[in-house]
Amino acid sequence: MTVSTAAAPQKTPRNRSTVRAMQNRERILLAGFLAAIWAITTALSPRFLTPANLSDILVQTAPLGFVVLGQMVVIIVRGLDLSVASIMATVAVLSTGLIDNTAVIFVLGLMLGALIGTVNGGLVAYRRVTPFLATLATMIVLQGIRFAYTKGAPGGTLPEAFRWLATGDIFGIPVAPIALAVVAFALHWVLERTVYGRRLKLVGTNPDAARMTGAPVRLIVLSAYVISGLTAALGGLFLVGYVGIVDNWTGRGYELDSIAAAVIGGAALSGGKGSVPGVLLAALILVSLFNIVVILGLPIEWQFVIKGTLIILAATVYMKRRRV
Amino acid sequence: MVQPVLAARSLSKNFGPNEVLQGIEFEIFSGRAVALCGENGAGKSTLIKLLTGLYAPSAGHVEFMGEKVVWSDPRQSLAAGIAVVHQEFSVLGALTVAENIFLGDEPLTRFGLIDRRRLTCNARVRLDNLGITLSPDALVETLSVADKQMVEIAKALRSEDEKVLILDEPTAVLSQNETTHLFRIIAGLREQGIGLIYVSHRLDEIFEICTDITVIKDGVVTTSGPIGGYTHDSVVSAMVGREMGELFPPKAAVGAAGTVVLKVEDLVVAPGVPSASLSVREGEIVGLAGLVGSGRTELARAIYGADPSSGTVTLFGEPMPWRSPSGCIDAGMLMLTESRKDDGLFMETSVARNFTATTPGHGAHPAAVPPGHEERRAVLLKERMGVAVDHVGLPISALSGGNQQKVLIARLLENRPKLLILDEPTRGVDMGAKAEIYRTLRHLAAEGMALLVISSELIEVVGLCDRVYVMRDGEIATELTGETITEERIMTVAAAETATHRGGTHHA
Amino acid sequence: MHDVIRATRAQPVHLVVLALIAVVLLIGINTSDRFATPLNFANVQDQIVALAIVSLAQTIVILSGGIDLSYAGALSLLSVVFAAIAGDSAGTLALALLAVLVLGALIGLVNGMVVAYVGVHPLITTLGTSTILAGAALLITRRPSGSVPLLFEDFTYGRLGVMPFCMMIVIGLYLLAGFMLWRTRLGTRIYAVGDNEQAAAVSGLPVRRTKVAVYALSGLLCSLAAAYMAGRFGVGDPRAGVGFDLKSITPVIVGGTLLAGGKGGVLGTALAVILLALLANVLNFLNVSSFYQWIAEGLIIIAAVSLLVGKGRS
Repeated sequence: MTVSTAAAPQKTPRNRSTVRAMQNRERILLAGFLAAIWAITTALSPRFLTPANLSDILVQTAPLGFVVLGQMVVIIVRGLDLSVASIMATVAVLSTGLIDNTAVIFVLGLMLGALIGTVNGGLVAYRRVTPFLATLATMIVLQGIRFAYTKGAPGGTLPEAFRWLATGDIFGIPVAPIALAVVAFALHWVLERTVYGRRLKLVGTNPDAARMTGAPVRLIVLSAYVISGLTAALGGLFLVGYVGIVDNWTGRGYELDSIAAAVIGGAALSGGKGSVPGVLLAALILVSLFNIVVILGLPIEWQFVIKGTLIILAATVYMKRRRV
Repeated sequence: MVQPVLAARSLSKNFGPNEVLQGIEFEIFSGRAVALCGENGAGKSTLIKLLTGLYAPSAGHVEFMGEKVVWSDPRQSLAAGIAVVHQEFSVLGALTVAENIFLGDEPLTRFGLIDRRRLTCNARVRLDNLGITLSPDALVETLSVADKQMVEIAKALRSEDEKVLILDEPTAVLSQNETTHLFRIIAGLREQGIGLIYVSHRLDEIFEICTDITVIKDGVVTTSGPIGGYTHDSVVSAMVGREMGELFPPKAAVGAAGTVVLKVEDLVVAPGVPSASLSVREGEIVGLAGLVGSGRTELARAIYGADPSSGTVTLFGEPMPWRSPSGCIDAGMLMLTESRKDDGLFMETSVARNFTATTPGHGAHPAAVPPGHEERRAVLLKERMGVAVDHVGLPISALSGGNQQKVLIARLLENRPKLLILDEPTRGVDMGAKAEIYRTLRHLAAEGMALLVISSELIEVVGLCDRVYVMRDGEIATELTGETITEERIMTVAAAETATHRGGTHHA
Repeated sequence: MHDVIRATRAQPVHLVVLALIAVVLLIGINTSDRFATPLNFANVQDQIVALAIVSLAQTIVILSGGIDLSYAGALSLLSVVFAAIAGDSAGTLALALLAVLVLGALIGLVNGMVVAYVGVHPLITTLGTSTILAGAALLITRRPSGSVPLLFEDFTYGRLGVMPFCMMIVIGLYLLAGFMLWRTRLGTRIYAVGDNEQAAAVSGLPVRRTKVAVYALSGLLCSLAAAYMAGRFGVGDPRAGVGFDLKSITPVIVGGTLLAGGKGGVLGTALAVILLALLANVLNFLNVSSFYQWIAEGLIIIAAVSLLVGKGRS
């Protein structure tokens, strides 16, 4: 899978806008799109723009939001994490199965997510396995482990506090989106305001050049998968908390949805690109579409058609814009 | 008077304001081999691109078989019978020799299927005619670099009615025996009536196989004629004889260099390559000269820890046991790489971020780099280095080569290096920027920095360096200082035949 | 002999796969009397057919340097369409076959055009089309529906001796694909484009058209697999393809084809499909739950890739 970059023999004058301005415009485009679909739906149905429904959308965005954050970090370093859904389910099954203290569940889950991320990152960075295959293998192995552990039928009840985190609210503001906002802000800070974040993006843009400028390339690649393991673990825990049932297939489809959201949000498989606001907007768009399809009484399968079209369209638009 | 197969008639080419070629007259006759000589950047490859239709001329025209032609596409010149063997390979490792030779033009059976028997057979005939002993069924990825070169030549000459073959530095990657073999093939081609253009830096080779010579310097033909009328020295002086003018700042006074900064002892880059030892002192610009492929870049990358090697590297008397780029940077050694695009620049990233890539967050807390920090630093750097850009937020790809190079040098200086290794610091850079870069480097040396400069441009080595190591076939062949640094001396050493290191191996 | 090796693209790693097949067979024979029986071998073959076809398609795409993740959606939609049209007569059956072949090729064409002409990464492209197609299948019907003529159902269950009819077709398809890769210009182009796109373009090959052809071929093969699945189920299942996108890749990788493209071939995929199916069968006899089989599959992928990466380094 080589990404072809046709070398232009003679340079044409570039568009004279700064890198940041281009990124900002991409995000404004996304926000505009989100506003447009919200506006259209509001015009079509009075049931859409209600506090309850908006809060619902935000709560549902949380799990995907967590996962896409990590997926984006991995894509920034030219990788891909197919194991996120498997991590979500495995973390949920194992940590809620072992203990029923909410805090301990989270600590355990995060440790597990980091461990799996280390395995992924180790295979990619130190064993030079293609990210696609490394995380595909991890995905399948984890699937086996959790089914074997639960013998196919996970059980147990979730502690009340745990449910509250995923579905409850503080003074009317749902908790899950707040948690997502905190994590997202932290990651945004890490990417934009720390030396590590700068290095991470440079490694994704040009690993060879990054090495020559003294970046510990392999360690950084490894760390990206650890971050993805951590956010997938959070996503899994918030998802089971929201659904209320721990299932072996928790998070099924999130690997593809998270890649879709990352791409729509501006991350490119060629590496180096991606922003927290962008991918969060994209996750919000995907969840909104699902909500809108339901509100408008359309067959819910339309969400797939729209989602698929959106992925290809977004990738095409970014392609054309960035090739200028 | 015999008519030339291919000729350039007052051919000129300019890119914007840069005149790369001016009024070139150049002829190739069938059965003869013309050497095309000139320093890097003299305009040789531009001429070849004009002759094959990759570029359109700004003035003048190309003549083929006595007729004026306008190629709009390299495929047209290819179809007319002009074959080019580029420096970079176009052979495919996953295919066999035969498949590569006839790629896209495989012999077919009546049913439109590839006739495997004829494919192998035709390839064998082709290889035999060229005197290449390779199995048509061998996978190309299993071949040596030299054999890949042979496949490349066979592929270029597959249609049997080629009239002109252009070879661009074909021996850069070949050993002596392989080169001898290539020369036999070339002699055979001449007998078959093919006209050859042979681009090479190696004068011995040119005198061995070419019948004519054309020397280009700064986009103009300085001399041309049958090779018998030339000597080694006359070719070199035609290639390099250029006044230095105001380009270079004055050198440091003899004996001004201080303590030894870098000491490299018995560094072995790869098994079988001779070991190298060198040293660089404070306030000194040391040159690393030699032909393309003589091992300069490999040596520099090994010192910097970018590639594995064995041997000792000492910085200020402190041995560096474990070398990596980040380790070297911490110790105060930084390197500017040869290829800006490959491992220098971060292409779609802003000028500001490229400026600060080795020192992101310099001067701020590593976990709290304030917003706009790199832009503010970049603006200062931009002014200090005189980089022409409206806004440091623009992508680095919007800059000219010279300005990109200034950004790269500036970012190394941000680490306050004690030793700088610069691989081709002025490649793809215009004259004005070159002079600025030379001034900057000399200024750094005057401040006490130690510099190791690799360059393929002799005038640069002579004009800039206080001391020069000349490399040949992976080893340091000689060391020149002061008055002994002349273009002729360097060229004579760099292009000399080295029987001791080349004769030993036999062609398998 | 040399020609045979070249034509089949046999690699040393295939000997490893063959040896593993032998080991699995031995374990199987020692585990149960019911293992080495015609009935069991016929069952194993029935398990193979659909995956074998899809993996064949994936092999060709991966050889060209791409990847096709659209099978999940494509198989679902195509089998729904097939069962919706096939009805209960030979005439409607022929029409259904024609329809899915055309639709399959069309899906592939769209994938190929977006990848080759628009320049979107194949992974993103086919992920997008897969999602669309999966949605379309469910929009047509949420439950398995439609029907296939009895004669077609019988055909998909039919056997000649120990070999199901459809297994013969699969073998035929592998031979055809191998022949195509060995004896046609398209075959050479696929390897060339997968090996080094730039060099292929410099050599004057039509890189983009080759890519489009590859995805179209992939879509065509997909429609055959879909028809087979509809025949086996007797209905069109709108979730028939779930999981096939990633499942189709394992045999390709285990068979020694590089994900980067240009190296490998259909023989390796065939052997890997057999190995994986036999392994699953024997583990069933050993009463190892499918849970552990997943663990085994994942570890096999890592082992296969590590082996190949190690080889590439030297």
